[in-house]
Amino acid sequence: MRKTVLISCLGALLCSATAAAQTMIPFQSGKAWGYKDAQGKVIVEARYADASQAVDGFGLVSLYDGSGYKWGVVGSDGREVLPVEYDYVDMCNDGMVAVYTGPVDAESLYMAGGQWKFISLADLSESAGSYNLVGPYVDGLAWVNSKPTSMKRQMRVMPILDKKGKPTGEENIIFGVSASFMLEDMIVPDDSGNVVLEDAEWVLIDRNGTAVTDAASPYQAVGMFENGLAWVKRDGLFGFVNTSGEEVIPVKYVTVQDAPGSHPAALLLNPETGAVRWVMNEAGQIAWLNEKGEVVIDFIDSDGRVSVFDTVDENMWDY
Amino acid sequence: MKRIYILSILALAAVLPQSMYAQDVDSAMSYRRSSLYSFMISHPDKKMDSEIVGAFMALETPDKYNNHDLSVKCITSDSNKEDLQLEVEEFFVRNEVAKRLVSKWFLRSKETGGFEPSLVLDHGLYDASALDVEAASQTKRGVDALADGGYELINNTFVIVNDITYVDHEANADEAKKWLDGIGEVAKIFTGGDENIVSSLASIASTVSSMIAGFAVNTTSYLYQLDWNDSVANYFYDNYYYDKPALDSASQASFHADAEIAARKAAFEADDSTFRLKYVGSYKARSDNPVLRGLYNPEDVFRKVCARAIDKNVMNLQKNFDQFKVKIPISSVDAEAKTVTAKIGMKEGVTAKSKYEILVPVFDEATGKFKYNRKGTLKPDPNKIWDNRYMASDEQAVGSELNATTFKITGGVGILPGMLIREIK
Repeated sequence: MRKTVLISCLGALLCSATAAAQTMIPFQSGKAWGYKDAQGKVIVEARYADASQAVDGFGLVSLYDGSGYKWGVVGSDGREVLPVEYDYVDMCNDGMVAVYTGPVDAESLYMAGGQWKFISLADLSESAGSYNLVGPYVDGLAWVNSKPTSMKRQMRVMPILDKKGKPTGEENIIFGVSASFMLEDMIVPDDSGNVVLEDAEWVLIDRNGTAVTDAASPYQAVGMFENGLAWVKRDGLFGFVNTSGEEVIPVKYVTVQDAPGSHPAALLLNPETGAVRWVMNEAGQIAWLNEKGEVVIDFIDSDGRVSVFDTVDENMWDY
Repeated sequence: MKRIYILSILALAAVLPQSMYAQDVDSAMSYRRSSLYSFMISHPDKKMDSEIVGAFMALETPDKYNNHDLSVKCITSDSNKEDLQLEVEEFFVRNEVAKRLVSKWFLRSKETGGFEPSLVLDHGLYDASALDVEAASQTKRGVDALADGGYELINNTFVIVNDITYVDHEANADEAKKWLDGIGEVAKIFTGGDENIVSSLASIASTVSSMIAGFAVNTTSYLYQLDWNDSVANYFYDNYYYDKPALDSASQASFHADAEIAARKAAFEADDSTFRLKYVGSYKARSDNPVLRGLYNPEDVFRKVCARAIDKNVMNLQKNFDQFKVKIPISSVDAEAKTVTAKIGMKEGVTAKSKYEILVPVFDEATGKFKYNRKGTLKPDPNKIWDNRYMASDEQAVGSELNATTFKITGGVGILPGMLIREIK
């Protein structure tokens, strides 16, 4: 299935993935991968099955142990910072990685049924708990689910391109395009092609593993934080929490922007209006709220999109 | 009398001493910029539409223009329509977009209908120390104080409509085809309405990321300009303009009891013919293949491709239509080396073959407007062209480490920081 290559588990969310990463350049010798510095000097011998581009001076590497691939982390000083013994490792954020121990379907690259935990690359301290599913750390916060589910995560892959931008071959793929995984990574189709979001028990934790949202009242489903807000679902209804864990937009709407079932192209307003998210009530009307949950544009009859043939509701214009 | 005084100040602009230009680079930059309202046409029936919309909405106004966006940033259309341009123009008329752009220039209150000139003043300020802005800022006299009544500013208001569609690779990319087919199947599920079914293509990140390497878009950009001439400006000032009321209760009461103001408000709102947008031209191009170096997630790829596609179209619209060309202030002058620097680069189409003229603004008393006199000419130093394209530094592109392009002075003397440069053919 795979001929190997660069794993670019790079950090979208690792915001300073620049200078240090530039000094760790993956190179291939035979079939094995290692790292060189900017001057071409070998800093990590080519002995790995995969080597990612580096992020913040760290690279993900794997070795085949006869039954499957094991993953670890090497540093720009050539050290094996995290031993190559995990069933998968995902570069996370804030100097954290998420490590997975459990089954991996080598064909589909799905991971399910195992346990995730966080490890700090600074001091190799491990999170107190282990989880059925985790999201990445963003601004010191991560979503975790402790309830057993059958939800799967899939390793990210994309084709290796030639200089003209065309895929170089069916088996040439890159692992982990996104430096950091996203919650959506675990939303994958079942055998029938249906994508089902299974109920879980999500809680937001800080770097110390302390719950920021009410652990006694977890969420069925959650989204990634974007501009300080993440959608959440409880008892079938939706709202938004901020990075302090506060439900700034109450969990009482039929659907909300970016949530399952919402129109992906519903964004209509620029940020200058102060409107940051739209919500839909039981009557199917939508309103735009600001980041405090206050109404900027009151409920109107709209599915969230404007057609070129429409006369736009006056309330939707700022001038 | 005050107008004459201001004109005198502005006339000095052509012969300002070096120190004054040097101090005023930022304000020169602000003033000379055209203003832009950009929005996109979304095609929900096309693949990757939600990703494109998401990428577009996250983009900022090109930094050589003032952001003059209205709240509606995206409208949908059937991708098979051949008369899209006509539909867009009818949308402009039906929704009074031109009038809203004027309203934004004067920060019109939808509640009271009152205007204020602070935005015009802010963008039009020549020299804060020379104008009694504080005194003028609350009234239209503030706009008058700009000598040309903000004519240049408001007249240089543009609308760019970006029709962006995904380029399907199915025909020539086997790997991409497999993944795309998968995404197509998933896309059908999204509209099913089952709340347990994930609705966003972006949500299927693992699948999407499998094909982002080949992500490309076709972009047709339609350019329009606000039709703001003396006739329209005078009609607006004479018939519609009135100041916003002060917040105290007495002022509010007086305001609401003023029949003339009520009549002006009603007349402005009923006016569906004075304010128009005029078509300038269009440009269509396919995006370049994305350089993946430095990209860490699918959204970055979508954003980079869309940003560069739009920048490419903006650049070509600038080349093709003089009124849309940007004028950039000179940042620094090295008299000994006979070079200047300016914060313009590959994003604006600077190449080794580009040519630029150096301009100084001069107030023409005969017309009551500004004109630009040529002061010299420039050519880029081929080895010092700034790569300021979107995310160029992330891909470690050559020239991205610079923060300005260096130009050789090929003609003219007395070149000073703050003078403006504009591309010539």
